[in-house]
Amino acid sequence: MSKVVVWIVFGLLYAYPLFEGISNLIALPPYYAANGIGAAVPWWLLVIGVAAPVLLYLAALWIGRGRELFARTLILAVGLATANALVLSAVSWASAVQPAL
Amino acid sequence: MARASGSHPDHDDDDEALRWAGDDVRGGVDPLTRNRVAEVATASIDDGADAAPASPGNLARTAATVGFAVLYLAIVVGWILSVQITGSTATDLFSQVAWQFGEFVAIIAGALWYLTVLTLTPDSRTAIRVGWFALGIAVLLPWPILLVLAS
Repeated sequence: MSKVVVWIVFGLLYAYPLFEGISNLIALPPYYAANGIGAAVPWWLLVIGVAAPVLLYLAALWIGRGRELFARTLILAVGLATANALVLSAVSWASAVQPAL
Repeated sequence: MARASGSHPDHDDDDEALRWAGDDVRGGVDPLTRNRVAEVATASIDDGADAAPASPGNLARTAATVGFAVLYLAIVVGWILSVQITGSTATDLFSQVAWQFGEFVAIIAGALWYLTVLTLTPDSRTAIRVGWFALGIAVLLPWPILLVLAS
């Protein structure tokens, strides 16, 4: 039972980096196109932004399976922190590789 | 003759008294076993022999654990510097709070990863522990500050 509560709480916490990733994926290509650099959209960074939170959440559940609750929670926390770090990294890479407007 | 206490007749009361319930589940060593092991160890000491050198595997493991501690410290410092230069353009309160939270967990990511590997691989082979340490370094590189320094 408490296991499920942990899954749900962390699911909500992982949702924020995922939301950021999705909104970047939706908003960045039109923004680039409007500025005439539509060919330079960094798709791989946008994909990382969406995939990282999902994959890290699933990986954390998988690695934590069969362990006690403390270990599961710890692994989910590490995955959450990593997801947020990766999103920030992807954003900084995107501005680094963006062509001059 | 049946005993009035109702306890198991074969059960050693001393054993029972010197054990915490759940020790075996948690992988701990109960005091009784620990003392017996210590007695055996004391009894078998050869006074003429030199102290046994630490096994090379253990030494490498300790060296790796300490070395990665320094690297992870650098990662944490890198993220502290990184969040100074990243910022959210959002103006509503929820986005601001969520962004701040994201920056905070990015800072502690390195420390969390290190402590988790340390906690969850006490009995794993050294290669497995080092592999998890190395993966964390690769994934948690503080790119915002690295890209600024590189430019």
